[in-house]
Amino acid sequence: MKTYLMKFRIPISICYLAVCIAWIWFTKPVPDSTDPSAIEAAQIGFKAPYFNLPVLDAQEISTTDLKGKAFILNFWASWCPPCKAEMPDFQHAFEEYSNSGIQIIAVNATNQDSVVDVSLFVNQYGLTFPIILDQDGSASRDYSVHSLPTTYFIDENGIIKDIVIGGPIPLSLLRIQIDQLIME
Amino acid sequence: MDKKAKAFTIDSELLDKALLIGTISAIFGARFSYIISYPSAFKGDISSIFSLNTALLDPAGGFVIGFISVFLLVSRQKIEFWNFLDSLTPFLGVFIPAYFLSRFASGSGFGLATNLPWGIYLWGTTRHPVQLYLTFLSLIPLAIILLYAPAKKLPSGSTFLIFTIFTSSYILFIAAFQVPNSLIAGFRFEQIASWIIILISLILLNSRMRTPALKDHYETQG
Repeated sequence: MKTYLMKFRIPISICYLAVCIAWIWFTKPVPDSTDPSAIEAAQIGFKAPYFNLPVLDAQEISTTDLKGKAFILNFWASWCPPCKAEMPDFQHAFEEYSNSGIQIIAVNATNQDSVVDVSLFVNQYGLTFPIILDQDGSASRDYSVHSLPTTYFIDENGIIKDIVIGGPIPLSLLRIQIDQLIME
Repeated sequence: MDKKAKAFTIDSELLDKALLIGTISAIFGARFSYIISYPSAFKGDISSIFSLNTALLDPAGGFVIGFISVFLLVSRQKIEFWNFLDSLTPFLGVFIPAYFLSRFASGSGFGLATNLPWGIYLWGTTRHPVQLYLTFLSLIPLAIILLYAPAKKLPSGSTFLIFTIFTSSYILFIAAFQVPNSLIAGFRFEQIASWIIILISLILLNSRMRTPALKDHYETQG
């Protein structure tokens, strides 16, 4: 048996490669209703979950308002050290890319923070992008946020392109992600 | 793994050293590769070169640099590289199932929708538990390695190449049940890459099998 396999190893290998090609051909992907871009889920490739939340010192904002725009969702809290470390870079990126059409939105986990501390934080760091308040933790649940900070990069079709768990996110990474969102 | 290294006549300390150097080189290499891919992003933000954020790592670049580092180390020790790859195979046999299990835990690499009774509810629908399929299949080569490696009468490198062919084969097969991550000409990237790895491994295995001593052995047999 072993000698037979050794003697005919080349034809056997060619047949095996041909079988693999046939499998690849016949299992070519076909889009269907369970395509990730049609389902809301906090995972890369899926549609960003819907939210409608109040903005600090303003009205409300929802994913409907952001339709057709790429945006960055950063989940944070005022007591979180990596959040404090990365916020100046988010502000810098917001100013640098102010004409690009990309929106930066900071979602405060208000269910484990306080509006007073949030306001103090925003004033201290001079943040000018929208700060939305997740008062009941619904957005954090829908976006499966288990640690802070967590950042979602979402394209103009509302599809999650990347997720960065933890921080601080440096300015260079923000630039790279924003440039990729602009290119799409 | 140390016992298996000795079975392949490789010093287990050398193996440990190679893994350590390879890992450290791969991490630095991954960061270096990421920086040279996006140099303009680091203008005015040089400190982020030293950021601990793992999103600034390029896995492919890290793998290449790690591999080169290990190759140079092994060459300097005058060890046959094929023998070294064989001794590394038990480590891969343990690492790969752990990797697939981690993907199951994180929910990535998820499967296509299914009505099968063993489907799992994930990301909005019931899906093939492809990460579990891959984990179970990856335990088969591990068991074979632990029981039978090194195979007598096969040239050095055979254990590693056969392991690679088997691993790439089940990845190619199971990828058909996964939601495609990226496509090349409409076909799954994982399947195309696996097929190429199988092709290269078969060519290398055939070349190893053509060593004169082995060729003579099988020709005298029949």
